[in-house]
Amino acid sequence: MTRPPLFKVYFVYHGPDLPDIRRHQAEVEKAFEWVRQDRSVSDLDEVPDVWERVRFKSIPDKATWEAEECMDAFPIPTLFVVMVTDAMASDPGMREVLDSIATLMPKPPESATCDLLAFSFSSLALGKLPPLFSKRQVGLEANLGESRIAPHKLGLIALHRARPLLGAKLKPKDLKIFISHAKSDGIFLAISLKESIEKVPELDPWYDASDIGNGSDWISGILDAASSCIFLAVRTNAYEQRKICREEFMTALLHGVPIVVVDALMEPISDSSPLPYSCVPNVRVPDGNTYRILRVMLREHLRVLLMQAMALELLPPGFSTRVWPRLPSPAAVKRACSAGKAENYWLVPKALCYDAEFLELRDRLATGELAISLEHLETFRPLPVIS
Amino acid sequence: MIMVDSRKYIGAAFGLSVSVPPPQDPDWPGYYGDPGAVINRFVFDEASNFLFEGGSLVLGHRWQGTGERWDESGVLAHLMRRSREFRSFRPAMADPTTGKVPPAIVNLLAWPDLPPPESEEEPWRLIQEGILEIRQVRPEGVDPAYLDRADSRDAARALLETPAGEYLRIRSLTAMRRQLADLADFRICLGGDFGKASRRLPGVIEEALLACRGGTKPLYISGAFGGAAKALADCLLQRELKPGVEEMFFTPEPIVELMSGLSAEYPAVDEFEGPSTRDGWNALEWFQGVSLDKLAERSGLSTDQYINLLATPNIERAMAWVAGGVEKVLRPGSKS
Repeated sequence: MTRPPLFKVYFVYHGPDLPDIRRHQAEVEKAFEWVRQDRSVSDLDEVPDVWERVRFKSIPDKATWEAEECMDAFPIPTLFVVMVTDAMASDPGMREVLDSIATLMPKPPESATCDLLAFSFSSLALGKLPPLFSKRQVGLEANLGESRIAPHKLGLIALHRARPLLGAKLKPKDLKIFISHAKSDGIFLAISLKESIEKVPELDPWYDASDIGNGSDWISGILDAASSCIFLAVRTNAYEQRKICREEFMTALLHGVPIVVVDALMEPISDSSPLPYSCVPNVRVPDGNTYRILRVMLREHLRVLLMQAMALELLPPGFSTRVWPRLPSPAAVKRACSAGKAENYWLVPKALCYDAEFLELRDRLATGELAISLEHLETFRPLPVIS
Repeated sequence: MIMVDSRKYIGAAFGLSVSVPPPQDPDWPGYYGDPGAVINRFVFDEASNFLFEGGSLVLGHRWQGTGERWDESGVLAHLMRRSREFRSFRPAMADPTTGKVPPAIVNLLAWPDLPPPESEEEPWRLIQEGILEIRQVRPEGVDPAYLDRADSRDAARALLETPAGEYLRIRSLTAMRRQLADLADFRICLGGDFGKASRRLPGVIEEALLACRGGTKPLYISGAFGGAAKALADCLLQRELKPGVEEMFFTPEPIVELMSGLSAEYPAVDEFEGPSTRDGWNALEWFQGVSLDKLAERSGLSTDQYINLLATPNIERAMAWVAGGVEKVLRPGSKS
């Protein structure tokens, strides 16, 4: 169904520059794309996906921009990715587009539903534009050899910038990427991942050796981070045999944070595991491309934020909701309920629930002290309130 | 052991009056794109949810789709597979006196449409399992021997080309819709085309009329998909209808003549089966006389809420009103 987008990405460039920026455009589009699961199945068997409601639109000229809907009419979170070049800065039509984008940027940017990601090949070109564009430039090393902002990095930064736009209540530590690994055999990939994250401006890893202060309680530090950061588990042969690794993983599950597993097992066949790896996205990197892991990680976080936005769209005022990335386990329910303050509704994506388990859990929650209503996100229908 | 079944619609039968509306004006605020694909997806999602939550469906759907054989990629086929999945994890809701389990989907067909033959394996398996019931509905007061002549598609086609056949088809559609109204506890009307030239009234309007007539069952009408349901919503809201739209509420002149000519031989049951004409009984005046307060009350909504349901161009919002109303009817003390 064609429904209004939950999030919009405008890729703004100067039309004649397309041959130079084509790869950047492709990477940003890929970062936000909706991947249909299986084109051979009937439309009706397809599982609804929140990525359907992310709109990517290229703006190569003034006419395309003017044909777009008025920005004020729909307060939809929007990210502008602007590829600034000398030709663009000297084109009067594009200058008008950029000026109108600059006026849309709210101040202060922290509380905004609109953000601008400027990427420049030229500092001279940036100098000709409003100062806002220089302030929101992705990084000064844009042209410097290996560490330059290559297309794949631009895609990651765009995904990262999208997160605060959809999650207004996110704290800086919620955006960090927790690297959970077994030191004995996972340290090599973990260090490589940490460095990959650090090389992308604005992304921040949480790594035990660097982020736990001297003399502090390291177990509580680790578990505290695992309960709030987005969680990346490096699944090596030793991973699930380490108690602390299992605890990290279970803590992330209990708190319903986004989780991604990097499958780094050496053998093609793995034994049964105490950890439910299959309920979260798994990535393999036989070619060593760690940026693929980061893209999956950021997309998983954004998926949860998009689900939250979808729920808020229908929620009447005075009600609260919590979106779980997957059906919460009995332990997660107990922990959430023992905290005392509960939401009116808990929502889970239909595609990730086994129906019988969903109904059993709903019965328990409905008869529990907190009387929480468990609903499928896609069919969530609270009665609207007339204002 | 938990002695609770929190499924929302246990035992409730839902009637969906939905068909593809005419193309919309892209400037209309509720414009939603390609109507065919959107309606199919929408019906499937909503109906799946009713089944998942323990409800059943009462439909008047052509099982063949556009072809001759069982439409295995059609909405009905998908819904039946869905209801089969949903049955496996909860005890069946058997009638306490008869012990019979009601089917999840009842599909009625208007004469001369025939139920699927036994050679159609998939529907027959589901019929045997008690998940599906498909049966033909015939008009009252007509010689069964005459109706039995339509025992194949070719024979049915030949009969439909005769005035009596055409007339009896119209009567059968009304009889089928009458039964749909009796079997469904809730009726939801959305979209809907102007109907064929050989119709008495467009399907969505006739189904709403027959559901409304009893004066007791909840009826939810949303103009969000446009078409006949929007015309109906506008009529209930006492809005002025455009001349072309107004025609939806009247029987086309050739059909009025046909019905008048044959009504002595095959008399109608009551005025709700007769033609809708400007100088006699008509559906437009009938709907204009319906009290919104009463309609809202029996649908579990306040009048303001019902007006919102009729008027909103947002289908999600409309379905939220429907869900709230249904919950209120099924559980009068609920929060919503």
